[in-house]
Amino acid sequence: MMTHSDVINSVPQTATPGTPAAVHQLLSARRFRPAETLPWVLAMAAYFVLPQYFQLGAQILIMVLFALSFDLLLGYGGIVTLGHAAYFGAGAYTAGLLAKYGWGEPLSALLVSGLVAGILGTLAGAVILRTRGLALLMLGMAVSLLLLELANNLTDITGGADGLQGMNLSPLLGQFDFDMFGKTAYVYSLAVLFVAWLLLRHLVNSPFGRSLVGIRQNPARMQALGVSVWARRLTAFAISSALAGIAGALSAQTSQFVSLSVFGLELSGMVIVMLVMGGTGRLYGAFVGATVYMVAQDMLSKDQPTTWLFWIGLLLILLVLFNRGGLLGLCDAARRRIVNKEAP
Amino acid sequence: MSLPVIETRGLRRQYGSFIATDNVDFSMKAGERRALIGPNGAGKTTFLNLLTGQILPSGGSVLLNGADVSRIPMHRRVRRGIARTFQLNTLLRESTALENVQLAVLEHQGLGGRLFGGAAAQRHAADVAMDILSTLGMSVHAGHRIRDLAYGRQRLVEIAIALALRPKLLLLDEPAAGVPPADSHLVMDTIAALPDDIAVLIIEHDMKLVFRFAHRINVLVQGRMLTEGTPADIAADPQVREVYLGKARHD
Amino acid sequence: MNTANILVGIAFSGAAYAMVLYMTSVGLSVTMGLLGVANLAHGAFAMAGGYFLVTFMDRLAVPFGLAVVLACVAVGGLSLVLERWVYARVYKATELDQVVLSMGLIFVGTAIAQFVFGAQPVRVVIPDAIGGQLAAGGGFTFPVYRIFLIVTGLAIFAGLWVTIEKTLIGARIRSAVDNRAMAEALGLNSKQLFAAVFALGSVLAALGGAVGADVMAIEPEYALKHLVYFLIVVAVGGLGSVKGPFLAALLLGLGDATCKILAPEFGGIFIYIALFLILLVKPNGLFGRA
Repeated sequence: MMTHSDVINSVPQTATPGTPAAVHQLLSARRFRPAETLPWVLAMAAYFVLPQYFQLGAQILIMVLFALSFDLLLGYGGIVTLGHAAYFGAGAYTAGLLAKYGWGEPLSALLVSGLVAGILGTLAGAVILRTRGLALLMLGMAVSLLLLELANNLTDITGGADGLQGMNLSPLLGQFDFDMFGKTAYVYSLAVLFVAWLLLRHLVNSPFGRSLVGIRQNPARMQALGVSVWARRLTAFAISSALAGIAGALSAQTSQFVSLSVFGLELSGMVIVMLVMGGTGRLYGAFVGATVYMVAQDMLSKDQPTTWLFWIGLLLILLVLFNRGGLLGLCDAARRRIVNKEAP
Repeated sequence: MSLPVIETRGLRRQYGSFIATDNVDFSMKAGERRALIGPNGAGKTTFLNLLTGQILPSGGSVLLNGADVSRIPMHRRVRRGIARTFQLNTLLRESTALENVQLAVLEHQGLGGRLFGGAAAQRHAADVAMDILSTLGMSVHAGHRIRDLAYGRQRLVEIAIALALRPKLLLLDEPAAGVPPADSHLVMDTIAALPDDIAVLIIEHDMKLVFRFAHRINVLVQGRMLTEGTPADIAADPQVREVYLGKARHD
Repeated sequence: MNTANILVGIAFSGAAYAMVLYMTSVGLSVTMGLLGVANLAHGAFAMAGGYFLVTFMDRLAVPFGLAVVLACVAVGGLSLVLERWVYARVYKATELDQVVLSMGLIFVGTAIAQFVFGAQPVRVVIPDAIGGQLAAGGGFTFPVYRIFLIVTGLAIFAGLWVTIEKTLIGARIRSAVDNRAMAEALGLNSKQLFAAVFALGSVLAALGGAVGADVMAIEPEYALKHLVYFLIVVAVGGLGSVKGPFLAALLLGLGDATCKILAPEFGGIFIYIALFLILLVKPNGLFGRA
C-alpha cells in the first residue's frame, strides 16, 4: 500500500507530455465515434429506399426531436413531469398562427416558435422547479392542461376542437415547396433534427451537461459544491422546452394543421414511453425509442387499438420490473455478455 | 487579533418543541484543527448542517470571516469558502474518481454552468483534479469508477472533492466511518497532511484520530456545547467521562 | 326561488361528485403517503369496482348492497395480488419507474376493460329504495341517490379519521409513515402492514367507483379520464392525509359544479390556476407532511 510520501516522491506531477491515462479517458468521451453516423446514414438511405413513407418518416424524425428535448430534462436532469406537450403545443400553435396570418417563411417561423416555447418554459419552469415529487409532476401537467383549455376555448384564434387550418407556407429556402408527398417535409425535418442533435450532444458533454447529471444523481452533493441547483435545472428546462417547441413547429409546418392533441396528456405520455423504451439519459435512446414506437404504432395500432394499448402497457410494466434501461440498455447488457464470454 | 474563520453566536435550531441545537457559541481561527465529539444523537451533524447552510437556524447567528451568513443558502456559502464531506458518501458512483473531482474543480472555477467553449476548461480542470488526487496518493486510482474503489479510498475522494473547492474552512463529517481498520491509516494520513492555511473541523467517533489530529476538542451533548479544551483537558474532564461512560461506573 | 334552486343544485351535485372523488382518491393519498409509491393507476381500482358491481348485479342477479360489498372484496383481493407481485418491487425504485409502471398498468387495465366490456359506459341500476327524488317542501327536490353518496362519503371520512387518529392500527400506520426503519426495529411487520394499507386504499377506490358510477361513468377510459382529478385531490390535499383530500375534493367538486353552471367555458382554466397557486404556496398540499 503506497503511503502519502511515496507518491509525492515517485509520481510525476502534471504538465508532462504523457498525460495520465485517466485524464485521457475522461477527455476522449466527447469525441465523435464512427457508430454515431449510423442514424444519419439510415435516415438518408430511407430517403432513397422508402419514398412512399416520407410523411411517416417526417413524423418519426419530429418525434425523435421531441423525445431528445425531453431526454435532456428527464434522462439527464432527472426531472419527471407529465406535461412536456405544453411546449410542443406552444411551438405548434405559434408556427400555425404565423403561417395563417401572413408570415409564410418557414425557417424564421421555426425559430420564433422555438423562442416562444422556450420563454414559456422558462417562466413555467421557474415556478415548477421550486417543487419536487408529486407537486412537480402535477404542476408540469397543469401547464399543458391549462394551455389545452385555453386553446379549446379561444376558438376564434385557434380553431378550437376543429384545429387550426389555413396555414400558408412559403417554399423552404425560397425553392422547395411543401409537396403533398412529404419529400420537402422529410428533408427539412432531418436537417433540423441534425442541427438540434449536434447542439444537444455538445451540451451534454459540456460542463453544464455533466453538472446536470450530477444534480440528477445527488442534488445535495452539487449544492455542497456551490451549485445553484434551481438555476441549472431551469436552464435545462428552458433549452428543453425551446427544442420541444421547434419539434411542435415542425409538426405544424409539415402537416399544415394543428389540433388540440398537441397539448394533450396522450402526447406527454407517449414521449415518456418512447424514451423509456429506448433508454433514458443516453441521447440515442430517443432515436431508438421514437422510431420503434412510431413504426410499431403505424403498423399495429390502426387495426387493433385495444391490443396495441395492452401490449404497450405490458411492455412498460416489464421494462420497469426488469429494469434494463430500455432497448439500448438491453444492447449494452448483451454486449457485456458477449465480451465476457470472449475474454479468457 | 485576527477574525475567526467561523463563528456561531447563540446558535439555535428547534423542531417544534425538540431543541436540536441549543444556544451554541463556537469559533475557529484559520489553520486550526478542531474536533467535535459527543454521543450519538447529540446534534453534531445538525450543527454541521447549520454551518454549511443546509438547514437554517431558528435563532442566533453564523459568521463566516466576520460576515453574517445565517440566512444565506448553502450554495452561496460554499462560494465563500466552506466545504464539507458527507458521512455517507455522495460520490457519483458510475463516474471515475477523476471525473468526480474534476466536476468540483469546474464548479470552483465558476465554469460548472458553461454551455459552450468548455473543452479547454474541462482539460485544465482534469489536470488540476489529477494534481489533487495525486497529493492524496490516489493517482493510480484516478481512472477507476467509484463503485470499483475500496471504501477507504472512496472516503479519500470525498475529501479530494472538498479540497478542490479551495476552502478556508473544511468540515469533515466522520471521515473514517465505515473504513476497515486496515485502510484507516489512509484517511488519517491524509487528514494529517491537509494544508496549514485551511481550518479543519472534524466530527468523529474514532478517538485515536481525534486525539492525534485535534488542537482543541469540543464536546456536544443534547444540542448544547458541554465543554471545550485541549485533548489533555478533555481526556481528564469528569463530565465528559460521565457522558460517554454513563452511570455504569457508579453501579 | 330560481337562484336558490340553482345554488342548492350546485351544492348537491357538487358535494356528491366531491364525495365520490374523495372515496376514489383517499386511498391514493394513503398509499402515496405511506408507501411512497406514485401509483397513477389507482383509478383503475375504482373502475374495477364499478365493473365488478355491474357483473355481479347483471350476470349473477346479486342485489345492489351485497354486490357493492362483493365488488370491494374482489378488488381488494386483486390489489393484494398486484401489491405482492408488482408494486412491492418498486417501493424503492425511482419516481420515473413508478410513474412508468403505473402508466403501463393503466394501459393494460383500459385494454382489458375494453376487451371484456366494450367501449361504451356500463349502466348501473340503482335500487328504488335509494333512487328517485325526495320532495322536501318549498318546491325543492333532491335526488335521493346524491344524498346517499354524500352520506356514504361523510361516513367513510369519519371512519377513516377515527381509525387513523384514534386507534392502535392508526398509530402504527402513522409511525410507519414517519419512520419506517424505526417502526420496523420496534417490531412492526411493515410488509404486512403495507399490503393491508394498499388493499384498504384499493377497496376504498372500488367503493367510490362502484357507488359513484352514477356520477363518474364506468368505462374503459375511466382511469385516464379522471387521473388528473385524482392527482389534484391528492396533491392539493396532501399525501398521507385523510382530512386533506376531503377538503380538496370538496373544493374541486363545488368549484367544478359552480363553474359548470355559471361559466362553463372557463371551468378547467380556473381549476388549473387554483392548482398552481395552491401548490406554489403549499407544495406539500394543504395538510401534507413535509
